[in-house]
Amino acid sequence: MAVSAYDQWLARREEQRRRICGDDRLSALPDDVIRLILRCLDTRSALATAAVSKHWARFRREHPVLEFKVTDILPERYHRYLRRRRRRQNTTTAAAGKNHNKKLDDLISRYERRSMRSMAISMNSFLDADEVVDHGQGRRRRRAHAMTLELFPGHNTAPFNRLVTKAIGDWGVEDLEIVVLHPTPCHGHDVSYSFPHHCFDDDDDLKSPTTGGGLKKLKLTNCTAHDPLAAAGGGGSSLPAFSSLTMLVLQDMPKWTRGRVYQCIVRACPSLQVLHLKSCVFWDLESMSIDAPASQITELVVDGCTFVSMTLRSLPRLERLALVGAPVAFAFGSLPRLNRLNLSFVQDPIPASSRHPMFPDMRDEYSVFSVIDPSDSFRDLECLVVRFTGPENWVVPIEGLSLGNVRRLLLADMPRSWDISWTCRLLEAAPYLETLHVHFVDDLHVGMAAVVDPAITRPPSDFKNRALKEVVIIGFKGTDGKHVRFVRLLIRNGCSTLENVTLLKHGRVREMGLWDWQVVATPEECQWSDEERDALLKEIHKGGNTSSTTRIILG
Amino acid sequence: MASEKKVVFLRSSDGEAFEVSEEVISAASVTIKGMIDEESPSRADTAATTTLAIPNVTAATLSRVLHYVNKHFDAAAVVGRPDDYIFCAPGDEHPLARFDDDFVDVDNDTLIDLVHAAEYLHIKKLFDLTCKAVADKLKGRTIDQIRETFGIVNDYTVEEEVEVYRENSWAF
Repeated sequence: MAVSAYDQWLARREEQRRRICGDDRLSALPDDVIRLILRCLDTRSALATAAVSKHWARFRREHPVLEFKVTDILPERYHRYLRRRRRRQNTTTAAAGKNHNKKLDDLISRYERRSMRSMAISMNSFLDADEVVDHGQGRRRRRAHAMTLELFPGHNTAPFNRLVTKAIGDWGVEDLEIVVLHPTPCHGHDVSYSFPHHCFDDDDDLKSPTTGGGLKKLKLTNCTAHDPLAAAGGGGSSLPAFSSLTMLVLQDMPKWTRGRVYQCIVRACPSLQVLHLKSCVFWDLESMSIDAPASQITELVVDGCTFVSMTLRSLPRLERLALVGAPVAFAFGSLPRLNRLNLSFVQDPIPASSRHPMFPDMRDEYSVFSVIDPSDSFRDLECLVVRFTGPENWVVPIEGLSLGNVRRLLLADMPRSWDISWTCRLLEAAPYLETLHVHFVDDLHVGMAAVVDPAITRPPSDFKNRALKEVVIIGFKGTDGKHVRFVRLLIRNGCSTLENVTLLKHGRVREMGLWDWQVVATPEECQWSDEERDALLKEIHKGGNTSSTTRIILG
Repeated sequence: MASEKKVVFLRSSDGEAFEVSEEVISAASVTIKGMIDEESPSRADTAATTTLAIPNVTAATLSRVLHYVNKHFDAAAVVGRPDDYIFCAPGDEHPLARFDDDFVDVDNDTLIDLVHAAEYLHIKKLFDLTCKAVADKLKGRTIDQIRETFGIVNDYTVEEEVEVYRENSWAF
């Protein structure tokens, strides 16, 4: 067996390295291997290796992922004080205790400020070294793909602005996350940090051939969106820093952020495809409206935001939309490509003490679908998820609603006190529906549901659905007249195409992302007994013709 | 194909031969799979087993590598799909997580031999595992400790060292 040329080359390389590095077998590893090892390290450990020897310093500008987090340099003592302060949060009322709390706050706050000062100095020397490279000869430019910056708000933002500008403009960072922490104690909102848009006035910087395609993903947590952004968006022009942005996540936007800012942001990012708004709280219960006929956005997720109302007037490319959180009034305008829609409403039950004394049964009613231009809204909609968590959520049926092409519908976390008429309206509105999955909450809220149980209006007699093939009901109660009536209705005067109706006593819905799901049945022994089966089938078929071809599957 | 289990022999740089299932080693090592594919036309009609020379790997290292390979890539020995565990969160104890931890709990020289072998044989999982293990040995150590542990000579002048510390002051 001959030794291949490759093997010979490997042996020569090994020999050469051994000559250079002596007994140091770690440094003698091939460069690519060293890069991979460094990639397994956090940014601080990776940067530290540069000080080991000149050989290792060669790699110091090649860390593809940079993380600068102030929490990494806060000393253990800081965390100890913080824990102690949190324990005392609500327990002390005496003046002496308050004094002690104040002292703790001062200490904590001092550590935060000190760490931020030290971070600012580090960032400046890090960047200064970069400047030397830029002007010097033969030294490598830094390259990085992703960067995370985590800081406390402060007055000295210059080093961080410089860092962000450099990262996007020179190092080729495409994926940037900025997290602004809440300082302890919270002094209100006099200082914050905002994305340094103004540093990107010169468009050429970002489009120079040496850098990548510019910023693609941006996640901002608790950053302010200042007026320059709003102004640029309002004027219809895009900001250079955002021209290539495809994904934007805005989380915990400070509550003084005005609703119109969001529209401006959408307009300021011409390439934006994915927009997520998470836990954005509103100061004065503002409404939010997005009207962006030129937008490329295909995915919009609004999660846990407190708008009073939200209007999506025009997002011509939107395909996936998820609205998660407390119920809000939504109005849909022109969303011609909307294909998947998730409406997940989560609300804690209203405690009995705050119920209206005269009308303890009164519940909040939410009109989910308010459609500005019905002809254009749900034309392409295929998948619809409607989820109710908390017994207070009810939906007022809307006359004349059309859900066009909806093929799959999931109604999850439904309260036991189920309003059939409402479900029938949805079925009516979706004549091409093929799959219907209904999921009831377990008996957890039974007491509450009994309180708010509404009068059931009779389903419309001319109810028809032409395409329904599969129905699965999870948490089906044979003893509940409504449940049985619904199934009977589907089989009898509903759907001639219906093939399978699966009734599960217990089961759950496994979410696969926001817009897809799977029904998971619990093991058979938890399902129906033989007597229950017989009784249930009898009940469903009672008084009707038995010519139906629908198969009823129990568990 | 023949239903009985085919084996190949791997001969280490110091001449020792190791027997391993062809199926297992082909699934694990891109390099050896390539060698076997190259050889296969010539041995289609002979019953002789193949011996492949692995000139860069010593017997001690090769036997370790094969131990790893047999644990991870032998479908009969692996519970579930062999690739699954990579996606497990650290909390989910995969049956092989403990084995992996013990496997790389070795002295520096042995570990670096394993890195070399995994690189040469193109066993990605083993390569990732050993690189991670080297990184763990660097983590949480001072510069002096790293130099001492791996026998790295400090070739900086005082001025250079000051400069490199200043640039990377975030790390210190």
